[in-house]
Amino acid sequence: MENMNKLNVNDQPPMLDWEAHLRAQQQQDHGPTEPPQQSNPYEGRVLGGAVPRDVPQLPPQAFTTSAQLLELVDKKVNVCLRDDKFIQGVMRSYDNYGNIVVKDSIEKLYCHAQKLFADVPRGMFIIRGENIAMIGEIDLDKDDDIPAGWTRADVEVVFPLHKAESEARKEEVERKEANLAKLGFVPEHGMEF
Amino acid sequence: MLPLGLLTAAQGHAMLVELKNGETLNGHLVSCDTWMNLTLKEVVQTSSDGDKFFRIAEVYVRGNNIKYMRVADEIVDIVKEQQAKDQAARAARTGQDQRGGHGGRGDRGRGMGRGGRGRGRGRGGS
Repeated sequence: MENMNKLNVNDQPPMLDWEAHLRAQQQQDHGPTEPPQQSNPYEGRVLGGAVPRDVPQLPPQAFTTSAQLLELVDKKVNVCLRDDKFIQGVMRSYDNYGNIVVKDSIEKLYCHAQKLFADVPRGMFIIRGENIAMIGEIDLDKDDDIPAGWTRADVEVVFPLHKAESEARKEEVERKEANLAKLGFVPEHGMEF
Repeated sequence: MLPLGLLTAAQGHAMLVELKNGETLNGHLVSCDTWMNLTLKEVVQTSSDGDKFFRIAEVYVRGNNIKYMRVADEIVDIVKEQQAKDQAARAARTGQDQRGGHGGRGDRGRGMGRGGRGRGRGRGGS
């Protein structure tokens, strides 16, 4: 109780002494070790953060919550939806569900057979996170380069080809699933809901 | 501005909603909630093939069926205006309170806005 009276709001929080905790654990595991050298316990701490340097941290790439979308904000991104739509635009915001806002977007239509593509201006999107298969940043230096062998064409030309191709692909998936179902497999729904 | 905040700001404006089954709904957003449930009015529903159209007076969409929504670019400007207005209103209110009104309420409002801990720091020396 004496201690309580001396507390100050500016004091470091006392309970999170990781180093002492680790020492105790080490002693439990390996028996007593050499006494730790005296040092400033708060060295290397930032903003009262209680995690010392030697505690292994999660590697940044293991950061798999929606927070990793932070680095894509205000970047030009390519969004691939689960139904095989491709939307390119500037990602303006996101939330915990992975919903995103994409501004000044275009939808990319592809005809793989003839290597044709077309851009359709689509304005602003609010995309529900569930439907996003992947998002990637676009390298602006390479954005204007058309991949070798591909040709830009009018929307009127590409749209019917694109539609025919995606319908053919859908039929293919259905056929495959029907065959697998006959063998007792449960069909997976990759693209279809 | 979070996606759902933008959606809220789009109330009363025209928008396009594509559902997971590929159907699209073109209409005016009446209201929405935090589950992304929507009510739309004056709707034109398009079948997933894009060859059949239905006109419907009012539609309720359960949020989980939505694939994406397309809203007009002007919505962003509306949001910005609204935010500026809110901020001005808040500033006016706190200013009034500081000049000698009922200090408590204004203080609370401001504190929430920008991390009000600063005030309490100096209390109680060792």
